[in-house]
Amino acid sequence: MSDSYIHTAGLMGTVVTFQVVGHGADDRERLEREEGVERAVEWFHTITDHCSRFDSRSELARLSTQIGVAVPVTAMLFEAVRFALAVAEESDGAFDPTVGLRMEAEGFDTEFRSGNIVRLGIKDVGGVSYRDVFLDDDERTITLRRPLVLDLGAVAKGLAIDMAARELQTFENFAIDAGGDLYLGGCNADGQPWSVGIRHPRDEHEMLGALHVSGVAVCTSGDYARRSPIHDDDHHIVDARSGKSATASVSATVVASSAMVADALATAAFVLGPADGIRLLERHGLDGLIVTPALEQFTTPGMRRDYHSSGVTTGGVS
Amino acid sequence: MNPKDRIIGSKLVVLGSAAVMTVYSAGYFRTRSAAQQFAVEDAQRRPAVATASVGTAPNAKALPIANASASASAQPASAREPGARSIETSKPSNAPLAAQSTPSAPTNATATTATTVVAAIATPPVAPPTDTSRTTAASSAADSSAEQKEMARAQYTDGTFTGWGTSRHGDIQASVEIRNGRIASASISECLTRYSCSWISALPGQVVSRQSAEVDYVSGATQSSNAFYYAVVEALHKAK
Repeated sequence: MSDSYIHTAGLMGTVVTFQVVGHGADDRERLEREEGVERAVEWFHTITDHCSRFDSRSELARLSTQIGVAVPVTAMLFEAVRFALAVAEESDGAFDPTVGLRMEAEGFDTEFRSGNIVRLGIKDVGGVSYRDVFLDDDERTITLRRPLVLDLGAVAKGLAIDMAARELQTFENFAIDAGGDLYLGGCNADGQPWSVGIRHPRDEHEMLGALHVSGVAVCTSGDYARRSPIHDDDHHIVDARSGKSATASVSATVVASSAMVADALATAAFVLGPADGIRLLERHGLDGLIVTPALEQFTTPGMRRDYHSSGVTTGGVS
Repeated sequence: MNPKDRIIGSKLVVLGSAAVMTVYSAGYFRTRSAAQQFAVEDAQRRPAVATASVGTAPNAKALPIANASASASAQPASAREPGARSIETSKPSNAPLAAQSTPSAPTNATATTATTVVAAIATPPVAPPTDTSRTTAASSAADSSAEQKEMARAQYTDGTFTGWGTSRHGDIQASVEIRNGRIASASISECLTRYSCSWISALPGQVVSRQSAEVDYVSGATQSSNAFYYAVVEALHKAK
């Protein structure tokens, strides 16, 4: 059994844990893994600076103030938006990054750490969608054709996890847990594939089941994590088609080689619900599990094979 | 499922992977080159490098930029000599300041700084709020008088030189004009940071008055201050 280096930080509005297994034989190795984790943490900061809706000085916020203008942006923001728009198209608008104003209206406007309310002051003209965002690949510009606020929550967190995972890849065996969105590399401290529990959507002390994985991301969208401070019935995942909280699922989990893909698709699948959601995942060669309000579980065939339905297990990742 | 659908349908996975690679490369190259730049400067700050070799323009790498104010060189880190540099690390000061560097302050999420190994030294954790100047770390082996002589002899080539400094908020280009071997003027020629460069507008003037890159930190704009500092360092390198 190897020793692990574990570091926890408050990032992107959630608690993120970085674990590197082994690579601690001497001072030099221990230093290397600490520094690797530092670099991983720094990616979270960088992505927040560019993609956060909660910082009026972020690149994203500044983009929102320029309507009808082709704004040159960094590769980071461009790729995040491009990917979000692609998921919007593939989900026929069920997932849509232009829901930022809807989210502000639901009270999801508070910066996690400071508690400051950040609203970007953009006029809600209604009826905006991902089709109102235009990307120019050659010039690397983004044009918001109408006033809107982009919310890159799902995509940005997944992207940060992917960047962090690349930094830690050199250590082979590691885990990143960003508030329940995970990337698992190599094996755990017992030399086994990582064991990932899927949280029961209605009982935080219970697990629905477990997966044993290596070299993949596992991301879950649930209606239980953040609820609207304004409207009791609402939570933070907006169905862009209705403008209201999505109600077809209570949780959706996706497994993919990229956390950005898993995170965004988990959100899309959540909105789409068990039938369309599973179809979307299958169409893209991904595995996943969707739980309905009645607590029925729907899985892709691959997930059915790998996922061991529970029994009660404790703990998130081991 | 139709196999053809599956192939076409993995567009999102392909797009996602490509995006991840692009973003990593964009950030990575910047941090890598910053790390190399910082490593070079770091080696130069080491007192062992500073020799009293006379007017050796090509070896003016020996110009210990960090020791611009010679009297500050042997000060403990807490001293507040204007124009000196603070390098805070969590290891004892006898840890080598070579390219490997040492880690920045551990585990405090808000204090975590630079993206690279070496930059952990170059951009210290958030400076104490009232400390707007930098102090030199252990350069205790340096002979201050030898350094003073070195400084006095330091000559730049006439002309205008630019350099880039990076930070996680964006890049800054500095421009310095050398006349008669001395820094006649300095400016921020490109401000690509997300935050306004007006925060650091006092710094170019300091480059001239101090005849070096050793500008103050600006509280609340430490990242930009550092980017400007390194931009000036690079520009001055070219002027040797």
